[in-house]
Amino acid sequence: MVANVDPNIKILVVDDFATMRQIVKKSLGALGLHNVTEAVDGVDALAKLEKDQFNFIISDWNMPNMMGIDFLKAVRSSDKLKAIPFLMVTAEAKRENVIEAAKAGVSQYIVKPFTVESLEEKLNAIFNRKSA
Amino acid sequence: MSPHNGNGTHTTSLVTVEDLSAALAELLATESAHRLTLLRETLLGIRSGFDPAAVGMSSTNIPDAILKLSSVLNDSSEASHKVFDLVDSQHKVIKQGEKHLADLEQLAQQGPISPDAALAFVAKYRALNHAMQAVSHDIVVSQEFQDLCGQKVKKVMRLVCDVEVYLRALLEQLKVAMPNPKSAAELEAEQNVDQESTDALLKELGL
Repeated sequence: MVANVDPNIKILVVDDFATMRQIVKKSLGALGLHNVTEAVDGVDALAKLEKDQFNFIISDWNMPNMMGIDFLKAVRSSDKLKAIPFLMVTAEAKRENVIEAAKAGVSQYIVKPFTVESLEEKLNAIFNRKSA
Repeated sequence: MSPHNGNGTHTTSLVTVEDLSAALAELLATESAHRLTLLRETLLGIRSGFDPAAVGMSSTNIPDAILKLSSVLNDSSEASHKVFDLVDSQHKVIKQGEKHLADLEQLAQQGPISPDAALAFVAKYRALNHAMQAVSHDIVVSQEFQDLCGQKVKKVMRLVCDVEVYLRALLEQLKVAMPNPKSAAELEAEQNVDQESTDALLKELGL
């Protein structure tokens, strides 16, 4: 269980690779977070965000149709969505990527491959800051 | 040349306007022909610079490489999902083991355990052990995809190297200035930063 995180929060996991979505889902499950919806890219994710309410977004960077960074910018430019914490989980970890994501308003950034511990650490950082 | 005569009209004693026009047309035609010849020679040069193997490369090897990479994607994805399923079955076996232990604990709390009950427990636990071994074996075997995928990736890597050689030869023939290939150290410097460096950078950026 992650401190300061409601175990029922609704999480949207966005990745074009089903394997990675499974890994993220299982890692969240190991932290007691089971209310997870999957999206295959930014376009699919925006459609799901339009229909449903989510409390947290975890997204990859490299995806077809809409890259993670463009998805992040779309989320941050929407009055309805901009307050949702956004975690980028990606193999794209060059300095310029991290800086671009930070400027676009990312909440935290995890470099693949990641561990459950690093995911927990990032969740704590996001939700503790949010509740402070 | 068109010198004036006494009555102010142009003479055409040396070269007529028509002559000049024809000469210019001829010059233009020659210039165009010269350029066309140069172009033809260049194209012939490019064609002769190609190893016939390059034709096979573009018509067969490259499409085959795309198929190979596509099957690597599928195989690795299937293998990952197989491991997920096997781990799920392993969890089920572990849970069964926990239940057997809880039953045994409860039995022990009620009084001395009979030899029959102890033997029944041993039999159940042994069966679970076998199930665990079978799942572990399946997990190990599921990794064989790495060998098959590795062979396909190696073939594609060889093709990429061949294409690089042909491309360089072609660019040289076209006299295109090429930078030197990047060194391993330069390429490494362009690689991703790790989580620790990312965290330090995020902290610098106020996150």
